[in-house]
Amino acid sequence: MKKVFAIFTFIYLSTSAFAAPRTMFLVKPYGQIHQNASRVSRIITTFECGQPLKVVRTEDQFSFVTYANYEGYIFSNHLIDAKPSDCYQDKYRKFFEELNLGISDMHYWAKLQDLLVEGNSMP
Amino acid sequence: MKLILILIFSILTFADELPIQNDFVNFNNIKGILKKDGLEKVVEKKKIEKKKADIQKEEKLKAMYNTPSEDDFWSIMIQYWLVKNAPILKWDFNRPDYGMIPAFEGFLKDVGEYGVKFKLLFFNSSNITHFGFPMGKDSYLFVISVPFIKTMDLSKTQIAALLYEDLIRVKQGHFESMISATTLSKLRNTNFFQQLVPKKEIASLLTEIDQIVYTKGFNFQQQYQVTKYVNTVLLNNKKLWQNYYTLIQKIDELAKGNLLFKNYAKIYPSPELQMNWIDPSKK
Repeated sequence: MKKVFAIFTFIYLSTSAFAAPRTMFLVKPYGQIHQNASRVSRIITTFECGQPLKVVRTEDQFSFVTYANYEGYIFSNHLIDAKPSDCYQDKYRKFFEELNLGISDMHYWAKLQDLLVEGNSMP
Repeated sequence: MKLILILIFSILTFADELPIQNDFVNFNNIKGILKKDGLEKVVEKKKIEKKKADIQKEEKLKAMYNTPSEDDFWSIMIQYWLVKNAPILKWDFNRPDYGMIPAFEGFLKDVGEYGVKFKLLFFNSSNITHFGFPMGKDSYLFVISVPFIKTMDLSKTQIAALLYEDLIRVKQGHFESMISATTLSKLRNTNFFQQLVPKKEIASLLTEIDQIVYTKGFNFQQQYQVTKYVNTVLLNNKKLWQNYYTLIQKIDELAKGNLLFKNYAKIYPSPELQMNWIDPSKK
């Protein structure tokens, strides 16, 4: 019995430890990855909607992701499995270009996604 | 040399007689055979396909010039406005959640306001106190000043009542009614392919929002409608109504006694009148 338990434990641990990172996509107009799993932690970099990111692990409401040389935490609900088809930048390309967003604007737009708290009154 | 010249001359002379009357060269003679082969149909089909592809290509190009749909418009423009106003509103600061999400969700359910999706943003400035914006179908965004709620020491229920008032204001269309219809028609659910870029309208929308939020606010009639509606709904729940009334009392005292918030009655006229409108003893 102990042997069976040990085997199952080993299998479970090995599969979770070596699970291949899966690719997910940023679904918010802009998003940021942070050094630590906190909305106010230092920002590593800013990405645009549709950006593919490799999800290494998920912790509570954050995912630890990598992209090229960057790695850090992002809100899990900012990511989806398939490439989003409704990014504002793609859906209204020329209009969005006319907003003429600078680096500072993109930074703030991404920051806004982290600071907005959401709720609903669904029955 | 002579021989070559004669050869060239004879070719040029008889060149007019070409093409040779030959069934293999004259396509008119083999038209029937080609028809039977279905080649004409293939050509016709290819022509239609090309036309279709051209139309699709143009539609795709045209779609790139779409302005946001009804559903996306306010979500994009309000976020854009918040981004542009970040230094004034100072929403980029470290603060707790104050447990407002469950509190407001509960409040909405208590008053029977189901199916509402909302976003909440706290900011660290007294430039505005609180405001509700539309964000698309059944979606709303509320911004609320931390100095404002801290100065009055508001309870969660009182903050929720304030947000509910903002929600009703948006639902009754008071915010949108103050934006120029021309601006909206050029920016929402339209297309500017081969037309002037609506740069001026984008700038004008931001200015109009600035004016409503910072200086102009709402008028007495709008405020009366909102207050009366909220009062009617909350009268069914004594505890919530009491909280709403106390909230207005607190705001009235604040607007009269604190210079930082003296602008409040300009935006939401006026807490004193609101109390009169809902005071049960004055009916």
